[in-house]
Amino acid sequence: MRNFIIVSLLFVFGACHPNSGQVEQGDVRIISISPGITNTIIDAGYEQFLVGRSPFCFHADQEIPVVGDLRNIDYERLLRLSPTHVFVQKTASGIDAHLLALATQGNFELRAWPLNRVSDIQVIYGDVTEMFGDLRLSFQIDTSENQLVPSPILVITQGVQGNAGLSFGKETYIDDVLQMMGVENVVHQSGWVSLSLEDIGRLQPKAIIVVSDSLINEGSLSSIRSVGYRVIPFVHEHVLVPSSYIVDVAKKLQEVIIEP
Amino acid sequence: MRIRTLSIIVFLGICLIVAALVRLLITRDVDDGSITFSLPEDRFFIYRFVPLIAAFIVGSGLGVSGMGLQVLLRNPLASPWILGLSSGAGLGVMTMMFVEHTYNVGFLGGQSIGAVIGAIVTLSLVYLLSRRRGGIDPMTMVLVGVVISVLCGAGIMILQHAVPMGLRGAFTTWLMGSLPEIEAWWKLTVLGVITLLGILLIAWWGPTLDAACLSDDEATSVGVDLPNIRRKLFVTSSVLAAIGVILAGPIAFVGLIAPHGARLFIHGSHRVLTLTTAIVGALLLVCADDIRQLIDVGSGRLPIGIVTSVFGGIVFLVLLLRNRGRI
Amino acid sequence: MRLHISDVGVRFNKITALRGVHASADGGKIIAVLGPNASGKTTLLRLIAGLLSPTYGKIELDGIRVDRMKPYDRASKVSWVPRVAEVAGAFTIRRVVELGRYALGPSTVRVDEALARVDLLDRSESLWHEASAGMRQRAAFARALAQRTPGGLIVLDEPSSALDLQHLQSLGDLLRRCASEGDIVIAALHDISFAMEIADEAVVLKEGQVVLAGQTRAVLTPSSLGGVFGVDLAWAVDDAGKRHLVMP
Repeated sequence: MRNFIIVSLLFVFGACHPNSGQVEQGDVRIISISPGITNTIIDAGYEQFLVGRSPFCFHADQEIPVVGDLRNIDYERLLRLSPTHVFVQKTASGIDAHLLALATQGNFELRAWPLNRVSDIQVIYGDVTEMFGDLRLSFQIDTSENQLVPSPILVITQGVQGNAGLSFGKETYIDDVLQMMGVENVVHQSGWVSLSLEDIGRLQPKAIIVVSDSLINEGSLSSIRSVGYRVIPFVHEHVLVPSSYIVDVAKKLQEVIIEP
Repeated sequence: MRIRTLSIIVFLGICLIVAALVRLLITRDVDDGSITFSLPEDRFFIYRFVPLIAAFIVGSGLGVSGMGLQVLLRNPLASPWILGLSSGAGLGVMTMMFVEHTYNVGFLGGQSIGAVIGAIVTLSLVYLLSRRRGGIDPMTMVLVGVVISVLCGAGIMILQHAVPMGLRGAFTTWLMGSLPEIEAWWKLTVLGVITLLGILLIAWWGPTLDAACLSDDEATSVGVDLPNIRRKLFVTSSVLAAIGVILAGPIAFVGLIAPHGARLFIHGSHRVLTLTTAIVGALLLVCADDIRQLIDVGSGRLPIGIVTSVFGGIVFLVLLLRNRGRI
Repeated sequence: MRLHISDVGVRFNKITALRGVHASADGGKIIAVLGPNASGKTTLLRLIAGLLSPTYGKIELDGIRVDRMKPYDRASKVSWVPRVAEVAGAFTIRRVVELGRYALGPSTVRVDEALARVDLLDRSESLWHEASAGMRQRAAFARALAQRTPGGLIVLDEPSSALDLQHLQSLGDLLRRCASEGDIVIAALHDISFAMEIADEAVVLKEGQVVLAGQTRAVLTPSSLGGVFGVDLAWAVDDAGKRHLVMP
């Protein structure tokens, strides 16, 4: 029986409280310094409110001015764009101190979210849609049992010639997708993990998914193939950046990893 | 060759063999990270043997390349990267990635091709811009190399903004250096033979290199054709370093430290120093690969470039402090 | 061997370092080159040693232009002792002297002999960078001795500047010995007394031109040198009856 991921948009009628942080759409000017958050804003249909971005937000309109990335913010440019909201990704090193100070001074509202898991993406998606007064949207991946997807699986980025790339370990958004699909991830460590080809051989995955957001180099594929397991190249423009496009990523992933 | 010198070389050779055996025997459990020493199963043996061969080729080549450049440039801090080789090869790799992504084409061995082209173009530029009165001027070469390195670095940063995150990540990994775990045998053989020939050539020129350590006038007066030997050294050292970059990306410090490590034991003869440097370079890289099998900071093994930088930097500091004035 | 310098001049960019130099020398002579600082002494010596090509004119050794010889071939005819010897790297004194044999083939006998002549045989295993300036200067001369072929040309740029009196005397003895074996010895010297002691002929430069040349006794007088150096000089006689030029 084919296993299908049921992607459903559940329309949740959230209580619309007067003090829920809703804004008049005409007033909104958003700067997003995280590609994942930017993509989520675009997917939610609010790209027209983006007035600033990071240089790595490739899916936004490239005419939108760049204000820097998490490590290097052009504060003057940011302030000159008169944002009402600044969105950043919360990392292990916290939030940029000066950005916090500017927000405290009332220049804009600062929102920061972690962005590692599918649940994080759901929170962002819900917060953004709720902020604009629309219904709070979320998505859900069905966890129907899947008998035709190989398990366990290794999901890995393309590496340099002769070596494996980085693999998706526990507590990553790809690992969440695998779990929702009912597939075991061979990597038990958390985060992005560097494995040697020998390590991969010892883990004995039923399939190795090599993911990329662009062309996959034949050299890196041949290195992975040398281990002797089934290798499935997977290219999706949104696979390497966690955003609400994970819905489409998961759907397309399911279409390729079918047990032969 | 004196008995003492021969003993030292034999000792270093034994150390290299031991380090190589350790590399072949270290088995790290994937789940709990525990270390055991055992021969791997047949199907996994190649994933230890190939990086070992690559470490021999790259380590010895980078070491001797560094030695040649230190003589050529009369600068004890010279290394293959001072000529902009690393940045140039990196720009070549980044350009190849950009072309592949933009035009949706794939080149088998694209990274190697990019590294070779980048290295050749960079070194040719450095060579042409360093010529004074028919020969290479060492001081000019250092300055030109630094400038070219910075320019290539800027080119890399520009291209990084134009490629997707996945390629950027792959390139960042390449920049840290990595010994290949699998490689075509013909490629290893060809590059290994060229490396061996390059090392033997430089060893053959040993007496000339000794005399070239005198000032320009003194070297010329004792019979050295300085423009000629500088040209030959430049080309050979560059080829050795380029091979290292092709196989393993830019691995830091080996080219700088290996010659100085060898000089702790060998004085006054670049013929013997060349062979010793080759062994020390290989030993450094094999030891670095051994160390990285043991260290897991929570995200798997460290890239070898980080290991050579950290441990190499410490070792170099110790060498420097213990041998002030001799370097 | 005969050295012939015909109308030689050197220009570095727009600066004329040397002009209109004529001279010749035969084997068996010691020639002192003197002059104030920046008068062109080192430039002239480098030209003679074939380390620099003249902008115009030519310098020939037995009819062959010395700057056009291949370094390997020239090494058997011309030895060079710099003012400051430089070595990059950890070499022993012995090894530095051995480098003089680069083009001629190794010879432990010649190297030992040269080291002994400059009183460095016992210190030959010392590292170059640990040696004093005097030791280095003697080692550079030893290298030239190990390299030289009797009847050749030895060119020395201020070989006495770091030597103590004992080694200065032995330097003079060695130079006389080389000349007696048929060498042409040309040395830039600051020590006028030493020049008077050992040189057969003297050439005095000023501002890139030869202003005095000839027999040492005739050239090195208080009046002539006083004019070149711009100082007052006079004769003084020592206890052995030798005359020396001094500033009163």
